[in-house]
Amino acid sequence: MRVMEKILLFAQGPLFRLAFALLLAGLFRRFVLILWPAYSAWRRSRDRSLNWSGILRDIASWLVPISHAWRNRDLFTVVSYIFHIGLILVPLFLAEHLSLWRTATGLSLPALPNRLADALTILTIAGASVLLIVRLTSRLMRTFTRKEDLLVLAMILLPFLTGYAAGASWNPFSYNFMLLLHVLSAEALMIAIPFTKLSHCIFFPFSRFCAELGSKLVNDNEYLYKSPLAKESKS
Amino acid sequence: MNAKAEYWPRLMKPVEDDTLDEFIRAMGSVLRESNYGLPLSIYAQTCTGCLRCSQECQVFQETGDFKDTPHFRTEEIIRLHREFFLPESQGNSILNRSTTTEERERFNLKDLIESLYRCTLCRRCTESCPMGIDHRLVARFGRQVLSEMGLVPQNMGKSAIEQIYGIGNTSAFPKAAIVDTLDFLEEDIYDTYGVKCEIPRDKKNADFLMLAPISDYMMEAETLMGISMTLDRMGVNWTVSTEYCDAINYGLFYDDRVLMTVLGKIIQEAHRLRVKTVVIGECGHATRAAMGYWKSHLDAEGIEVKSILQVTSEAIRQGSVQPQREKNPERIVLHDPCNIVRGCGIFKPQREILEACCMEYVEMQPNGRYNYCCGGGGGVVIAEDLEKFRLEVAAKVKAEQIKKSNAEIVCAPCANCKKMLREVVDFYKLPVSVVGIHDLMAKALSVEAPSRIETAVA
Repeated sequence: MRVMEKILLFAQGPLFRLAFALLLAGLFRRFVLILWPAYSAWRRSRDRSLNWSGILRDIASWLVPISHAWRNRDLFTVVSYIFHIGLILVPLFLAEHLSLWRTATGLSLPALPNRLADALTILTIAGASVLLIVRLTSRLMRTFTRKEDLLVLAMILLPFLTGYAAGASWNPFSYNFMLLLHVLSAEALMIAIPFTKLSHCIFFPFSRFCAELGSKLVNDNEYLYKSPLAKESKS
Repeated sequence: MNAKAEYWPRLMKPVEDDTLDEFIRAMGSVLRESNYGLPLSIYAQTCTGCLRCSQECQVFQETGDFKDTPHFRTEEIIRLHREFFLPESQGNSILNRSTTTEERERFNLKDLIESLYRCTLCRRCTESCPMGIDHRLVARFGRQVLSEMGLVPQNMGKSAIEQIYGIGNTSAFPKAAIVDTLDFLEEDIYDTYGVKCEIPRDKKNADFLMLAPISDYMMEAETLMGISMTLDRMGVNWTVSTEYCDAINYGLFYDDRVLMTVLGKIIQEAHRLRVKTVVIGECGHATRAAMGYWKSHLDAEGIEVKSILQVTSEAIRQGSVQPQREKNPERIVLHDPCNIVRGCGIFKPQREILEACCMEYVEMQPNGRYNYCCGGGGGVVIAEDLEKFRLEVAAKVKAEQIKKSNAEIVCAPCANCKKMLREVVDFYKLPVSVVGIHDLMAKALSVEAPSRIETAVA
C-alpha cells in the first residue's frame, strides 16, 4: 500500500495547494470582471449616490436569514440555511483539516469539537439530500432546474459523504482509499467554485450593489433626451 | 389557450415571427446606452435557482403557470444577454447554457413579451431573493427593449404621446378644464368642509410646486382638496401649475426616455415658476419616478423633490397642522403602494398621518416591504385588455387581505392603487370604500360637521 500513501500525500500536498491557488485565481478574475464594469457604470452615471445603509442592511439580514425563514415558515429556506451552516464550518474548522490550512496558507484556525463536526456533517448531507429531492419532485423546481444545479449538489455531497465514511466503521474500502476520494472530490469542488453558481458564496453581496448601479441612468446621454415615441406620435 | 387571448395586452404594433432578431438588435442598442448590462452579467453568476421569488409572486400564486414567475423572465433575458453579448470566457457557468425540460425548449419571444407585460413590477420578488437579484430591474429592461422596438401596450404608449406631444397630460385634459376644476374645488372645499382655502396658481418664487397625478383633477377630487387644505393650513408659500400639472410618469413602467422626457417637463415647469421644492401628490409611480431619478436629470440641480406624505407628516410632527381625529371614526385599513414603500422607502410618514387623523387604523398582513401589490401596478391597471387578468388573477390576494382586515375604509396613498382597488371592491363586492390619505386629512381638518362628504363609492 506504499503507492496509495504516496498518491494520498501528493493529493493532500501539492495538488491541494494547486487547487487552492486555482480557486483564488479564479475568484480574483471574477472580482476584476465584476468590479471593473461596476466602476465604469458608476463613472458613467450622473447620480452617483448609493444607498449604502440599505444595501448593507439587506446583506446582513440575509446572512442571518432567521426573520425571512420565520416570515414564510418555508421548509426549503430552513433546510437550505441549515445546509449552509455545515457547508461553511466543517471544511474550515474540522480538526483534521487544520494542518492542511496551516501548510497551505499559514493560518491556524480553531478546531470544531468532534461531536459537533459530526452532527454538522450529517445535517449537511441530510440537507443536501432534501434539496435534491425537492429539486427532483416539485413540478416548478423541475421546470427550472438546470443540469448545473444537480451537478453542483452532487459535487457538494461527494466530499461530505466520503469524508464521513472514511472514519466510519461501515467503510467498504480502506481508510486511505476513501480519504483519497474525499481529497480529490473536495479539490474538484474548490476548482469548480469560480466557474459555477457556487461563486455566490463570495459574490452574493455584489448583485444587490450592482442592481442599484444598473438602474442609474447614464450621464449626458443623447439617447435619453432624444424625443421618444416621435415616430408613433405622427401616425 | 382561451385564457391566453384574454390576457394578452394590445400592443402598438403586431409581433412578427422574426421579432427575435429585432429583439436582439434592440437589446444591443439599449445595453450600449445604459448600465443594465452590469446587473445582467452578475445575476447570471449568482442566481442559484432557489425559486423563492416565484413563491412570493402573487400572479404566479394564482395562475400556477411557470411563465408568470419572475425567475422565468430573468432567466430568459439573462440567457439572451449571455449568448449574444457576453464574451465566451465570461459566460460563467459552463453548464448554464443547457436547459433541462422539454417545456422550456418550446420558448418563444411571444411568451416572454406576454410575461413581461403581465408583471406588475411590484418588487416583492426582489425583497425575497437571498442573492438580492432585482427581478423588477430585469423585467424593466425587457420592457425597455420592447419599447425600443415599438412594442408598447397601446394605452401606455398613447398616454405618453398625449403627455409629451399633445395637451400635456396623460388624460388629454385641456388647460381650461383644469382652471375650471380648480375654481370648482375652491368652492367645493368651502361647501363641504367649511374651510376657506385658496389654491394659488402659477405663482412665481413659491416654496412648493404641487404636482398631482391628473386623475386627482377628475376622479379623486377629495384627495386634491385635502392636499390643498393641508398646505393652506401649514401656511407655506405654495402653488399649482396650470401649464403643466400632471405628475404621472408612465415612463417608469417601460421606457427611460419617456421617463426622462416627462421628468424634464416637470423640471422645466419648476424652473419657470422658480420654485425651490417640487412636491409630488399621492401617486406611487410618480413619486418613484421623480424621487428615484431626480438626480439623474441634467437640469434638476438646485431643486428638491419630496412626496406630499413627507410634507404632511412633517407638518403634523411640528404641529403646524392639527387634524381632529374624531372626524374619522371608521375602522381604516392601510394599503402600502409598492412604489412608495419598496420603491422610495417611505414607510413611516403615511402611518404618522393616519395616527394623527383617524381614530382607528389597522395594518394589512403582510404589510410594509412585504405587502402585496394592488394588482394593477406596472401599467396593468390602465390596459383595458388586461381587466379580466388584473381582477381575477392579480388582485385576488389583495381582495382577501381587505376582507380579513374587517375595515370599513381602505386607505391607499396612490392614484394608481385607488383606481385598481375601486375595481377590486366592485368586482369582489367588498363592503368597503376606497379613499386616499388626504381625503381623511380633509375631513379631519374640516370645521363644521361634514354633511355632504361622499365617501362611499361602492
